[in-house]
Amino acid sequence: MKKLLLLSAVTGLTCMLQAPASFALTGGISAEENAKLRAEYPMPSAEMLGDNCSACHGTNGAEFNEAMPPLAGMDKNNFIKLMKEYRENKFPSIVMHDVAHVFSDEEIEAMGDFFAKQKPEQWTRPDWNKSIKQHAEEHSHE
Amino acid sequence: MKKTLLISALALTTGFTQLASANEHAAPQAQAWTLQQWHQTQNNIPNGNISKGAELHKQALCMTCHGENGVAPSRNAPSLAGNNIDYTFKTLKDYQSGLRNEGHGKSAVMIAAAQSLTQQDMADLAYFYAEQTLQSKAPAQALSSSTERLVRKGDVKRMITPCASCHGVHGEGNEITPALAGQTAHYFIRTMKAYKIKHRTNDINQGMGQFTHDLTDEEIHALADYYASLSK
Amino acid sequence: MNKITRRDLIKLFGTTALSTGLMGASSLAFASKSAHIVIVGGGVGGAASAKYMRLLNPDVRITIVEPEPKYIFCPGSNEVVADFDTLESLTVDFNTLKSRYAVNIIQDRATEIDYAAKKLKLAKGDVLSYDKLIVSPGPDFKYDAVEGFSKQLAEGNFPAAWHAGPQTLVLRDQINALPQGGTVLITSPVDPYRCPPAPYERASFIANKLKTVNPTAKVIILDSKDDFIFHDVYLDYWEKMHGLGTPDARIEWISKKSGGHVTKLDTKNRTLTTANGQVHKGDVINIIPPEMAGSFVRMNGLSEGDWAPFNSKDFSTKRDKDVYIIGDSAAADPMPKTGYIASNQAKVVTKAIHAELTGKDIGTPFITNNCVALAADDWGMTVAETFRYAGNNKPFEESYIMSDPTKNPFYRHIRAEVAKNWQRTFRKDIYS
Ligand SMILES: Cc1cc2nc3c(=O)[nH]c(=O)nc-3n(C[C@H](O)[C@H](O)[C@H](O)COP(=O)(O)OP(=O)(O)OC[C@H]3O[C@@H](n4cnc5c(N)ncnc54)[C@H](O)[C@@H]3O)c2cc1C
Ligand code: HEC
Ligand code: HEC
Ligand code: HEC
Repeated sequence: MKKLLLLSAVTGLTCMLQAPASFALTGGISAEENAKLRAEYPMPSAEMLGDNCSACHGTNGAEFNEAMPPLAGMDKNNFIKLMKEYRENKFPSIVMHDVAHVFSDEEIEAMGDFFAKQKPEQWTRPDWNKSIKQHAEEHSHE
Repeated sequence: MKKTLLISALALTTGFTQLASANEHAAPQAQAWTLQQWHQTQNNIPNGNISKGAELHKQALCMTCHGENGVAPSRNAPSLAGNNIDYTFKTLKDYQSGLRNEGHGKSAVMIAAAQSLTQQDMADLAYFYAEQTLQSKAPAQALSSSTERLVRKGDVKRMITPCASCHGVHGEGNEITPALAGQTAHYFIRTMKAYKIKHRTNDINQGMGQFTHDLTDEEIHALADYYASLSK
Repeated sequence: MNKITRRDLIKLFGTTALSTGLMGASSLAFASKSAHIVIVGGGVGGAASAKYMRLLNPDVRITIVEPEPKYIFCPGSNEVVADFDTLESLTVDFNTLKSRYAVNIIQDRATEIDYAAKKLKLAKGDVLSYDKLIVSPGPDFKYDAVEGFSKQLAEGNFPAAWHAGPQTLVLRDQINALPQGGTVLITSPVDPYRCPPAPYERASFIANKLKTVNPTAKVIILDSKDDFIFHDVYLDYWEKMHGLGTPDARIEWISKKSGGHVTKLDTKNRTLTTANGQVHKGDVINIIPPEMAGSFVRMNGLSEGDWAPFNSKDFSTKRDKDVYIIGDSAAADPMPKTGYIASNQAKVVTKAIHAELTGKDIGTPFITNNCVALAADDWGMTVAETFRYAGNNKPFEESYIMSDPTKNPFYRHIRAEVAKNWQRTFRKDIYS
């Protein structure tokens, strides 16, 4: 965390217009620099992006019975619409504007696909021992 | 959780008046309602201001979870659009007092959200939601005969009164009986199960609790799908 | 159907450590050619590595080396200090990792890496062969940065309580026993250290508690810095709730500039001396020492200076491409040293390893940090930080948005609740 805290006049102002109650402190690289870095390297995979959300939204977006809504099985278009609204700061949010402001359209769509594919259920207990045993048997040539 | 309520009462005395002034009802009142107490409260619900309610819906962060105009954006949160003034008002009071507390993070965050609402705020919000319409997102359902029986006739053997007798033939509700038409199915199921296992106990005389004891999971799911398919 | 004998197992794991409980997951039947991923440390970074490795790959063998039988989470431990949460609720065991994710747990301390032979030596004498080694042993503390302070004192009457455990409870009991009108001294170290807002969160919680049980008591933060994260929010809170800036302030923050940097502890007189010679007397003294990479990291030549550098693409160490460094020991600036970061680094490392094992490209790494901190049970704040990859030999580039002292009470209340929810989802994401 860089120690220099810039109160960005621009962001502060737009936030004030849309969400007068809170305008946050922002810092680090600018949106343009962010876009430049995005263009320079291949897009991180959907899992790479989506796994960053799991400490709040549950592993693979599964239901953890908490305030943060589960994302697994969410309708892709709905996901994209919400993420873009958060990104544009269309309405005040708890944390999601702060999370979403860095993502490109493509990244949002990739995550939308990723979460839509997950099962909308409680974080279950897959028996990995069992599946590993099975796997080992299938691959055993001894 | 109970501790939260005490501490927040303290915090409120620092008085941020921009959106909400210090609330005389912030002290815990987690006692069950008597019908008489409710009637008294009901008679004193302030007149709500719809445009103030709309603004508060945004600024108090209700919108980020409950969606534009109180139409839930996903399966997580309930829709508030089109619900009755009395029901919304009572529910917010119950969250503020901690009487409604299903014991999971979803109700804990609602308790937190309700902490700094004044009576007037609650009325403004309730009037605002009542003014919105809720279109069903689910396809129309062919009602199975067993679900239809529960809704319209009840089940004498299990002492289940027909849902429609209180919630209305179109799931529109009345006063403190909530509208069910168009409600998020996931939420419907979650809250019915919470009544069933007595995690939700804010209903007067545990009226709803009684009807859920003997409902099976399949019946609850079918009822949820049915009501989700109605519009109001 | 093939029966696996003890000799096969020794062959599989390349070790004689079977007697030490290596076969925690008793029904393991791996193909013998599968890779062995060994993890040093069963804390946040280590445990997240084990679980996410398994989610990606059912074939690999996964072993965690961890000296403690259980892990106690630090997030939530300030609540324990102020006595409104318990250590029990922050404690997890390794049973789920064993039974659900087929992870072997060896209760021992890793001591030495034989890079050439790709072997890891353990304190009790066992030796493990690894294909990939993930190192996440957390930090060590520089006790000697404060003259007169030591590990022994921290484990005695001068708890640092910067790793949740027995010291947390000693500090809690000392606060509970604080004489009326007494003083609590808390030192806050130079950057970088684990969980940047935590000293200020701790100070706030203690002051909140004293407000009701011991209203004339006082908390003084002696800081080795002039600024800290959420500075504006905490100062605003302290002004509103604890009279900061008035003669009766219940909390006082002394920056480095104003002489806050502590150099010396006098245990007999219970005083701290600062760089400019000021002497502060404390009934409770909580020194949070500066940090450096864990001793395992430093002893094995993985660190340069205090921390271990790595290749940004996959967190492999500069020393050896099959040895990875994550968590608090890594030289990851501008990433802060948080559990959130450690767990997300684990998710990158495991993807990199899986990609390599399956002959695919590692892809571009991407990491975020989200800190949800508290000033009180109902006063929350957040920071969301994103780290973009900027080249294998360059640090990640950061951008962030964080809370300011808002007048909107809904933000504070709801964010505080989200913070509490987060502690639980975070634990579940790693250990369930
Ligand atoms: C008071 C406090 C509050 C905090 N709050 C938050 C918060 O709200 N959010 C957040 O994200 N972070 C928080 N943190 C920071 C977080 O706890 C750390 O950043 C995180 O634990 C780092 O993970 P790690 O894997 O590097 O180390 P650890 O989690 O400390 O795990 C290291 C493990 O390695 C083991 N080990 C050490 N040496 C060896 C060896 N030689 N061989 C084998 N095993 C070994 C240790 O026993 C330990 O179990 C907080 C920290 C503190 C002190
Ligand atoms: C610090 C915790 C946190 C993190 C990290 C986080 N979220 Fe959220 N998310 C929330 C909260 C709280 C909400 C409720 C809306 C708000 O923030 O105002 C939410 C809401 C959402 C919603 C709306 C869901 C619904 O049903 O209404 C989506 C979509 C979402 N998040 C996606 C993501 C994605 C994708 C990521 C990772 C890139 C992410 N979130 C990371 C906390 C988090
Ligand atoms: C973090 C997301 C979040 C925020 C912010 C939030 N709510 Fe809720 N709310 C929920 C969830 C989830 C539930 C359902 C809880 C359950 O399942 O028990 C709920 C339930 C409710 C209910 C009960 C609905 C019913 O049919 O019984 C009302 C009324 C309500 N919220 C109003 C509000 C208002 C008003 C605000 C703003 C002051 C608000 N909420 C803010 C998530 C949120
Ligand atoms: C005697 C009248 C009565 C009957 C019969 C009745 N309800 Fe209710 N119901 C209520 C009342 C009153 C509430 C609100 C309780 C409270 O204050 O929480 C309620 C609440 C609910 C809720 C929670 C709604 C929300 O938004 O949180 C659901 C779901 C519900 N009822 C479904 C049903 C179903 C399904 C049936 C039929 C099996 C049924 N009810 C029968 C009176 C009734």
